[in-house]
Amino acid sequence: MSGLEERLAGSRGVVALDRVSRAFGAIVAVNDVSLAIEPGEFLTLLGPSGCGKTTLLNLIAGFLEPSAGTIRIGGRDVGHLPPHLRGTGMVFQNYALFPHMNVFDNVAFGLRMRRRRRAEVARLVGHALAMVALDGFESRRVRQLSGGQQQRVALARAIVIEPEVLLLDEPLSALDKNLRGQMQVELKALQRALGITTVFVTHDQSEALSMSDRIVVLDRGRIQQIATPVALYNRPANGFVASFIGEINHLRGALRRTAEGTFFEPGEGQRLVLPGSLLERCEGRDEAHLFVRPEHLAVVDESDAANVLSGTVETHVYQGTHTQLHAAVPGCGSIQVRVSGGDVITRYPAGAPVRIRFDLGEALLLPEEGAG
Amino acid sequence: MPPRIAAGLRRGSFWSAVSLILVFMTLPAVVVFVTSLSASPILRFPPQSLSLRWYEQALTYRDFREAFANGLIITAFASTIALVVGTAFAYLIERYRFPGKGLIELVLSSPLIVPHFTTGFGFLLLGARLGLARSFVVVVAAHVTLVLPFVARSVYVSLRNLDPNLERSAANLGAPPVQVLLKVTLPLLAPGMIGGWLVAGVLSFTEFTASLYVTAFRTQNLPVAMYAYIRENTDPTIAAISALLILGTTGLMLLANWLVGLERMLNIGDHR
Repeated sequence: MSGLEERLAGSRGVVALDRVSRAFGAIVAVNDVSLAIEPGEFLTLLGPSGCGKTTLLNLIAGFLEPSAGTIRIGGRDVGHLPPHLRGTGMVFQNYALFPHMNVFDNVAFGLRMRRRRRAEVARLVGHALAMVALDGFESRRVRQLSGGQQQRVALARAIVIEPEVLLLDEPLSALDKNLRGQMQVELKALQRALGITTVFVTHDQSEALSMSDRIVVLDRGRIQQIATPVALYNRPANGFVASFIGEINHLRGALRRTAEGTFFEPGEGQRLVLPGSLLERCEGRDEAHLFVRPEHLAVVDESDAANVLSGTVETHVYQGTHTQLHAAVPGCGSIQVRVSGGDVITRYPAGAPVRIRFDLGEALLLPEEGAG
Repeated sequence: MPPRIAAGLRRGSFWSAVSLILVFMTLPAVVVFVTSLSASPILRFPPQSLSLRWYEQALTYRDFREAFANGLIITAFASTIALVVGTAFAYLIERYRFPGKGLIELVLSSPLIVPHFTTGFGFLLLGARLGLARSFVVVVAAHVTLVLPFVARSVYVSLRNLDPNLERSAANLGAPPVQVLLKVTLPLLAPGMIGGWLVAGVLSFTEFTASLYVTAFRTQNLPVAMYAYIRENTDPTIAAISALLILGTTGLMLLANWLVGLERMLNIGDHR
């Protein structure tokens, strides 16, 4: 990341992290992270487990102190303030509703800690419960609620205190698939209606793509890329992001520059013509890594056209709207091709020869395999 | 053999084994209870005729009444002090790492290793040295040592089962540490604390071995008074008071079980 640019932005955001690091003994969980979250933004921290996303969220909430760097919320330096003075509202993965209180008392907790008047507490709690469609549930015990209802109570409890930033720690991961989809839509609608600045932690890339204004991809404690979902998918900054977001074919091979153009040679005599636009990051390199998404490959009949490689069908993964065809291509290993519908399963059964065209216009050519 | 008969036999032998164990476990109490209903002034099992006269005798006997009152005082102080100290210890051990933590854990479990006899004897000598011999102070101190591990363990298990996100959540919602403790931690630990307190109470109230050393006639508790009685008399009063003691203890244990679950309280391991 360009440090200066991020740090200038950092002075404006609702939440601004400036060169924040956090180590646990010898393990650096968060490494030199700078980040600015804009007012009203839905920002997602995305990465595999152990990438530091939860540590980062805990640093913002104040459950951990940074080893280095500053954390600002609403312009205040809060890096070393205890959690109760930070003005964040958090929804935990397991909701963490108080089991000895009913729904009303759970939602009222933060207001009572702020010494709001009794009538005002009742009004605000009623309003918050109505927003999550749980009006009438005030006197229910927490244990009597379904997972989805508990999730809504946790959300109401966090938003009723009007936090400067809403922190969501994988709040949907405990729900079953259908409910999760529904809650994604509701959560996003609520966030937009309230205009509340939100930091959302998830390891689920499709959840991140569908909900976020911007996504921060983290790996081993470092920011790999900050971008909108569309930019992240179409223009991944490096091999890690390319592989982590969506499915992608990864080929390694040699670069051969000739008078007719530059070729990528994965081996076994195979070669692909590279468009000039792909080459800028591999100047002077002899070897490179090529990343190309399954939807940019096609099963074709012609054999002599450029960038068509032959292979053998291994298996199919039928997904309803499309089929993911896996083919063994000499020199390239196993290649995935996305074909719409399911006809391809009967036309190209396992073991059949298949020709695959590589459309490299939106591919990614990188000198390194992983993080940049 | 047809499988249904085999299954029946298996089930039959299982339940007869269970019944045998239950009978064996409760046999002494049953014998004492039946004897207490005897009309005869001689301790004999089984009784020839039935009466409740020994219950009247037990309930009106002055030494027993005083010992009962003493026992209540000792138990109330001992289990309450053990509750406070045990909760603090449990909290320290669960929440903090510090040098000597292993030592505290060992000392806490030592009453399970050191015989009550030794503890009583030790407190007798110590009390004499401090000029407090056979006073309530020494009795209560001895009982605190004996029941402390049970309280500490009960609270410790409750703490281990407490989701740390609940306390974090309270802090996140604006609760300063004292409020987190009062509004979240303590209410959620309450069943474990009350359960531990009740078990400590039962153990203290029925404690005999150490009490024999550290009590005097003025400070003796019910088991010691019962021992003194049976050395002098042979009538079923002792059976009647024993039956009453068993009934009272059972009631308290049922209450404790209802509050926390006996298996959790007596369990050595922890389940998160």
